[in-house]
Amino acid sequence: MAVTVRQQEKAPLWRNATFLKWLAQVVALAAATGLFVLLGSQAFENFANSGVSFGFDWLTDPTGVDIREGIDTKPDSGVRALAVGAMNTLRVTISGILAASILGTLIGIGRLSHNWIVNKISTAYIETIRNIPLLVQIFFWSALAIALPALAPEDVGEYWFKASAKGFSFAWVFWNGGFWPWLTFVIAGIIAGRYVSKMRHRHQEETGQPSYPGTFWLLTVLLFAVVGWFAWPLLAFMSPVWHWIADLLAGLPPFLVPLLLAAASVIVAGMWIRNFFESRRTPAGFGKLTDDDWFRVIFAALAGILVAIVIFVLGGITITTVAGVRVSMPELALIGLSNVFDWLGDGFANNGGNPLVFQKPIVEIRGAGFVQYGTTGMVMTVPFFAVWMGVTLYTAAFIAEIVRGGILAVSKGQTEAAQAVGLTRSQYLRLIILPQAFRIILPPIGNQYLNLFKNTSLGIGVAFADIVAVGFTIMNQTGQSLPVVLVWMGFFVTGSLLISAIVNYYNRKMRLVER
Amino acid sequence: MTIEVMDAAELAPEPPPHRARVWLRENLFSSPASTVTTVLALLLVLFAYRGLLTFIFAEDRRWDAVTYNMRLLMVQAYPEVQFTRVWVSVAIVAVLLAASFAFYRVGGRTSPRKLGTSLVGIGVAAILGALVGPWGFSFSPLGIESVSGFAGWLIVGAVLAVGGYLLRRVPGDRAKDQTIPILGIVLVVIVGVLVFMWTVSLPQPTRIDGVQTIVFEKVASSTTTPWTVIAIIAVAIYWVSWLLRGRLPEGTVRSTLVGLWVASFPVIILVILRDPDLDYGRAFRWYLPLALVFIVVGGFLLNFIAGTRGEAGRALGAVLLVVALASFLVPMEFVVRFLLFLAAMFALLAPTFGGKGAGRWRFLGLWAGLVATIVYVIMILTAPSTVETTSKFFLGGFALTLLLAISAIVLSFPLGVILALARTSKMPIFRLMATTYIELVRGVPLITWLIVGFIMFPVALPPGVEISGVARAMGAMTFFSAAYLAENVRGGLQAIPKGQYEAAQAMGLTTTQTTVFITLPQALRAVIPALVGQVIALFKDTSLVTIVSLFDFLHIARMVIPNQTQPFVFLGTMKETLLFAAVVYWMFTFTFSRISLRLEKKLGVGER
Repeated sequence: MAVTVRQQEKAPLWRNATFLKWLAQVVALAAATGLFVLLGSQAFENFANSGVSFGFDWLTDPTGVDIREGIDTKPDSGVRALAVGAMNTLRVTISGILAASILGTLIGIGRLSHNWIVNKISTAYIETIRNIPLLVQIFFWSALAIALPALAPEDVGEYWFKASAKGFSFAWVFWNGGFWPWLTFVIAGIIAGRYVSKMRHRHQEETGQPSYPGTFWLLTVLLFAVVGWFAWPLLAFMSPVWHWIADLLAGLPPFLVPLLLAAASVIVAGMWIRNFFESRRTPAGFGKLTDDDWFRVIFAALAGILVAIVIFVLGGITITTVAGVRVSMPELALIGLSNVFDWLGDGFANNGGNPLVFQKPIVEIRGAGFVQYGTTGMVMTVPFFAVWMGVTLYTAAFIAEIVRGGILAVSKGQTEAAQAVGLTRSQYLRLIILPQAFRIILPPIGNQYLNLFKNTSLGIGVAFADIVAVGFTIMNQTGQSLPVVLVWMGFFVTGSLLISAIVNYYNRKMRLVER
Repeated sequence: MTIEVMDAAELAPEPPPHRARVWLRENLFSSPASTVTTVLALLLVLFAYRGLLTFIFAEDRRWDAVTYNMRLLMVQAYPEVQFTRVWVSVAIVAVLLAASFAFYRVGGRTSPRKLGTSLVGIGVAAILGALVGPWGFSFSPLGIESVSGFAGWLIVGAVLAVGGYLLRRVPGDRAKDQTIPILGIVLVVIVGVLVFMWTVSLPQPTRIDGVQTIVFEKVASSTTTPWTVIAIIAVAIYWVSWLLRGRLPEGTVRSTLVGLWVASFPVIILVILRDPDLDYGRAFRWYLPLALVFIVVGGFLLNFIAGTRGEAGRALGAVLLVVALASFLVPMEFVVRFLLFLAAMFALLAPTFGGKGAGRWRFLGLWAGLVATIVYVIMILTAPSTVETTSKFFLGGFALTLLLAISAIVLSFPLGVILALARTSKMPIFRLMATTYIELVRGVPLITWLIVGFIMFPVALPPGVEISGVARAMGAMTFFSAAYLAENVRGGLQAIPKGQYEAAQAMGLTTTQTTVFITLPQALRAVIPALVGQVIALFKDTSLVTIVSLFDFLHIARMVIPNQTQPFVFLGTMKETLLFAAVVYWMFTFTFSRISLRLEKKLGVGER
């Protein structure tokens, strides 16, 4: 039987699928870029017409922004104001995540409870809270707190806890001189504790005797903490070292910063490409690389170079500082970094006192008869309370559903098997069910943490001075809308990446090790 | 031996008379720890209940701030003379709901026993309310000693509880088989509410000769007649549909209903509520001929392109595309550019989707319908509105909230699907663009995008071009929601087994055909619950527009009413209005989440 293989005709260009696909993509990319360029150039033109020159000078310009709460209420520059806002966002995010996790877990377990009334309370909580917009809840908490009685002269005194229209004040533990060296001891204790607990684990596996690795870990950390409480002045020698590093950084030539960063970007891109080729390698040499693969390689190379160029461009920007001196971005970065080490150096200096102090709040009369909270104790302002309460309760409802789902998803056979080998209820919950549920729960909970982080931006509705509200004020004062939005994006995208990185790290650690 | 899996309810034998005691022991007092928990939880519930009642019935609570401003909350400053338009809109929705309920056989049945149990539950709750409530003083929030709160709650609670108990007991053995339709109960409640509105008088604040006093009036008297008429129409429509549903072809009826639902939204907003003041001269001299020319000439052209084999058709489509793009360089009315662009798209798709015979006619019909719709929509959008309001936009309050939510959902859907397809496509630049867009939009909170839309976007527009605040908010919400929707749809696309693609390839389908006919429908079906979740989230997110000072529901509840001094002083009544807003939002989202649960069960997502 004769088989004739006809030479396939080469398709003309306008019928060539590969060509058409690339053409469509390039056209789409060009159209999208064109739209942005069009809008951008129009924006620049309008800016120029209205006399606003687009730039980053506002970062160091003195601002008239008054911030109600935070590490600095009268920031002297735009960047300082944004830093205060960012700190406020982080404060409410971290405390919200802690509180929402605890509350959410409790309610999630409550929904599985055999106790009818606990079960119903949990269900009612979830169905109420998650079906009402968060902004309404934040407004409501704010309205409730503002309606509390104002501070009156007869309230003057010391309290454990005091609620008023000015916010909530309560006793709290603060760090003091010697906190950082003490913290070094505690961290060393945690590392040592890991080692000890591993040893106890091995002992348990070898001998079969219960060896209490968790208890031993805790004891080790406690030991280090107690020793560190008294021995922290021993670490005071680190103080000059930190100062020396700060001086060293401040003395570095500024051009090194963009150079190092650009080199790092190119190196990362190069390493990615090398790893990519390695991953495609087969025993017979490099595998066949598709169009898509080549695109990835080329894109990675382009991205590396592009980032390097952007770093150099940013490095060229100079801004006027408060003192009227023009400094470049790399110089500013070096100064900032050196300040951090100077601060650390001060923290390690031996200035007596205990690492932690306990303070109770006081109510006092300041100035011309204004009754206010004193500087001791923790003061939770009304906006902070409203946002914190709102995001905590709201996120807890979602976390509770995830926890419930995670526990239910652990196969029933696990419980039965655990009962069959004679574990008690608390034992099999702690050792069998929860670790497995945790693995299922973690990724969606990470998503909820991300949502909480982004939801704190609703604080702008009750004048909570987070990064969005502060940026909005600066935007209105200076007209620099685009730079502020870029700062927001940088902040939120970085924060999101950080949270996902932490969650992913734990996810990898908890993953089933399979063959 | 076979094991039959039965519903738990079917399996359970008729409980013995001592049921209550057994139930209590099993569910509340099973162990000492459980007993302690029960007591603590009970105390918590009672304290929370007392707190809630104290909050609601406190002397200085101004609930009249809500009742008096109900119209403001719902439609803001929509003129009173044109209020019939609002009622017609509500009636359209009610009629469609009634017809859909009948044709889709919505609404299950319940047993008298279950109904009785719920009634007993509500009754017990009311009796408890009588015991824990703050009834040291008067019942009425307005300070009128009409009826003692304690006695009122006790009587209502006792009546409900006894009624429920009797309902559980009286039918005896027959109760097992008897069921009541839930819609019947709903009907009884509606009739009850209407009778209440017609007959009972409650104290209302009014202003006589500049003095604020309180008179007894019927509740919401201006709305009683319209609500009654709408209820009668809806019930009649339900009854007629119920009679017809066996006799009409089900598929046709259902697709007609879906079409009516889709069409109702723009019709209500653009035609009924906005009431465009059409310039009929221009409509007949310009828009009508324009539409006819495009339909007829374009129709012949498309017919030709769909019928030609080879390259001529595609080449013609490409030429049309170039013409459409070139039209942006020549000054002309926007509608013409838009129609040219649409024609080019249709021409490019004609060789694939043009079909033969009836299929060809459907294709051409789609073209004609789309052209007519677009010309009509642009015509009424460019016409001025007859509705004269004091605010910038003709709708406000809850109507604006609904408008924002629905339009953002509808508009973000196609964008989200396209983004999802782009992100899962094999074409790297498309994938890169979609990924960048989705991750960037999702990485930053919505409020930032609203501020971008409100502060930055107007700066980037050429002088003279203005886009209204509502449109900008709509745009920001649409682009934001599309990114989240795309991720949901992508989840569905990734869940499709590889065999589906391979089977489609084996059938000789092209990539486009595989996507449109095979993978996308399955993906969308699989993610319906997630999409409903997205709808709920979007509905809640519309409240954020209050931060950029649009007069939505929440803005009126928080900023307008608490600052009101005319005709009544409602300064600082924020807690009341916010609680009311929370209840309204809750009712809508809760309904949606129940629908989502039902859908999930019906579709069996995650079970196959």
